[in-house]
Amino acid sequence: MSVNVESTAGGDVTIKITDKFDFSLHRIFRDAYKDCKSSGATFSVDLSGAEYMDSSALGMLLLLREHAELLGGDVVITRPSESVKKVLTVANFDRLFTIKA
Amino acid sequence: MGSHSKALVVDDEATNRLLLRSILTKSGFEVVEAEHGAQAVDLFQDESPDIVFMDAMMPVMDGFEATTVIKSLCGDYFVPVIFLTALTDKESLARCIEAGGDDFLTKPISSTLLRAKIRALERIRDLQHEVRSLYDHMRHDEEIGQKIFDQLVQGHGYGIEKIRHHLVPASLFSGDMLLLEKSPSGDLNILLADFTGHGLSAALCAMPAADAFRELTKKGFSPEQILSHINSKLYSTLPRGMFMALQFVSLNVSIDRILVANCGMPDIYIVDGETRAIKQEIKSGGLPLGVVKSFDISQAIHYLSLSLGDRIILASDGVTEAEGPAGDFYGEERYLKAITESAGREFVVDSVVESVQNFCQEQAQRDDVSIVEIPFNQELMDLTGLERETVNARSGDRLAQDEQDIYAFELNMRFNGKMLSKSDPVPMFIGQIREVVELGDERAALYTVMTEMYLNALDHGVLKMDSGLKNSAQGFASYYEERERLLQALNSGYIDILVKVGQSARFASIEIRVEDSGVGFNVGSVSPEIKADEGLSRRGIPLLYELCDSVRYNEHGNVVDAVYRWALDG
Repeated sequence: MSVNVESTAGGDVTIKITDKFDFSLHRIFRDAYKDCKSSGATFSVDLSGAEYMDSSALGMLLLLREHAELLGGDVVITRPSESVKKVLTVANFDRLFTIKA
Repeated sequence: MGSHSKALVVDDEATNRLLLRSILTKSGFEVVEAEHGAQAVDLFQDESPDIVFMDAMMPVMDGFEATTVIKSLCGDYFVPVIFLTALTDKESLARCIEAGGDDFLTKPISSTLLRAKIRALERIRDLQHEVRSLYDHMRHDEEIGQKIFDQLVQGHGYGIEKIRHHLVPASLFSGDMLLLEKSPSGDLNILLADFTGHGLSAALCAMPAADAFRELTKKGFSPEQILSHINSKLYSTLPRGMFMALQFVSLNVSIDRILVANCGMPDIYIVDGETRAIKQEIKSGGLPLGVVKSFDISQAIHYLSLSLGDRIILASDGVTEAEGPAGDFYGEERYLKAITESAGREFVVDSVVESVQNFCQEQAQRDDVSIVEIPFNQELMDLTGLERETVNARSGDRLAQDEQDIYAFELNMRFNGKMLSKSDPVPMFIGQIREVVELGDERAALYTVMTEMYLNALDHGVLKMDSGLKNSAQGFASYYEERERLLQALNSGYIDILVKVGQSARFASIEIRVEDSGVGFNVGSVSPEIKADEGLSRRGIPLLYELCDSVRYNEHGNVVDAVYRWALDG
């Protein structure tokens, strides 16, 4: 599975991506969080296993961000590799998301 | 299948064929028979059956060979082939599938099992038809979309033939777009955009952006205003998650302004025309457009000082992310190498394209590849700023003021402090003037005059900057950094613009007064003579003198009056 989801009791959700983070994950990625309606939930996207990310993936993160905002929660991106981090910084997404090493 | 379906039965034994005929006819099939593989192939072509029942061992041509041939004749259409064979060993049965067969039954044939297998294959065939039909529709839509896209978006790129470019989409549609447009004051605006994803959805997003870019450039808005507007438009038009990364260049030689902006794309490179060394890199400085409702675009904008011959290289990430046969990426290092090693070749673009193609070889292209080379040469510069004819025509004899000019219209606006950092009032003024008098060919010159007056008032009057700083290489960069810093911090000062428009029977006349809150400058230091060509025709204030009928500064140099008149056609 390229997308792995874990939910904690507090309502926080961790989504782990492996291999290529691109358009093919569109539906599964959305399914991973769409049913989580906990107010103030934190959504963590673990990119440690992602070797590649494209603009569709950036779009998917924006959709997640919108979902989190509606719940009054936030999105944290964790452990991106060098090359994936570069995609995020070139797009200046570090202004929109907290990125944790 | 069932009624109205045709079955081809292939078996060298008549009794087997008869048995099968009776089972199939009861299910509503029309049946045709062949005695061996070669006959089966002929009949398949003549009769176009919907399903084939194939014996394995036959003389002349066996079932395996016949199936291979028949399947290759099928093309896009799915015609099921069921092997009916006395062979029971696993290898032979597997071979049936390898030869192209879709299923098999061992003899003696059970009619129940046969009907069950036919039903399963029907489902697969229906599915295949649906997929093919959807695909045909999709292709059809894409082709229509592409024609419209080409017309609206790519259709009219002003000056595009002067700019070397290589744009290759990954599929029928490119999500990358190259636009060129000229503003009334002579700005040449160039936009290379990369939309999320690629294909039809990316191209659809391109249309509102292309529209806004064209329209706003033609109305004379400044680069900051244009990009800001496109951002708002895309934010409200596009679905969340769709956005536009861009590299933008604006050139105007008459007012000495070259700027680039990079929002979310790879580095823009400024390359020396001769040595092809990289002189400057402009990194992405802002979010792609359409992501947030509004943001301060000025952080992503950089003013440049270029030497004649320099090249500006724009490229989308399709270049660095091009995939090679080993699954690795072309990458930034190879890209830089291809640029610097292009010395000796006329165009940097050609060197990079060749290098990418050699690296990728036969590998399918994953993303749209776009690379653009903007040469800062005389030929391109002639496309920006005012056309020489306009300036030459205006520099001639001044119109005699032998008639009372009747001023029909006066417009006065004052911009204070903070407002100055937010907007460029020139398009607004020109818009109002056009309501009163037909500008026609005068528009370009008038835009230039007003923009020049406004920028001088802003930079040297209100912000109190010394343009001498711009003349050194280090000074240039720090000039604009300082300018940006001062603009952001600005909350005092003003610029007051008064425009009087009038016309008599034969002439139209516009008086422009710009007053700023600054302490002025040494009026005597500005010579009306055009300075000998400094390599790139940097004009500034001398151009004002050329274009206007008169230009007068007050004692302090913080008020400038310009009169611009022209003869009306018969």
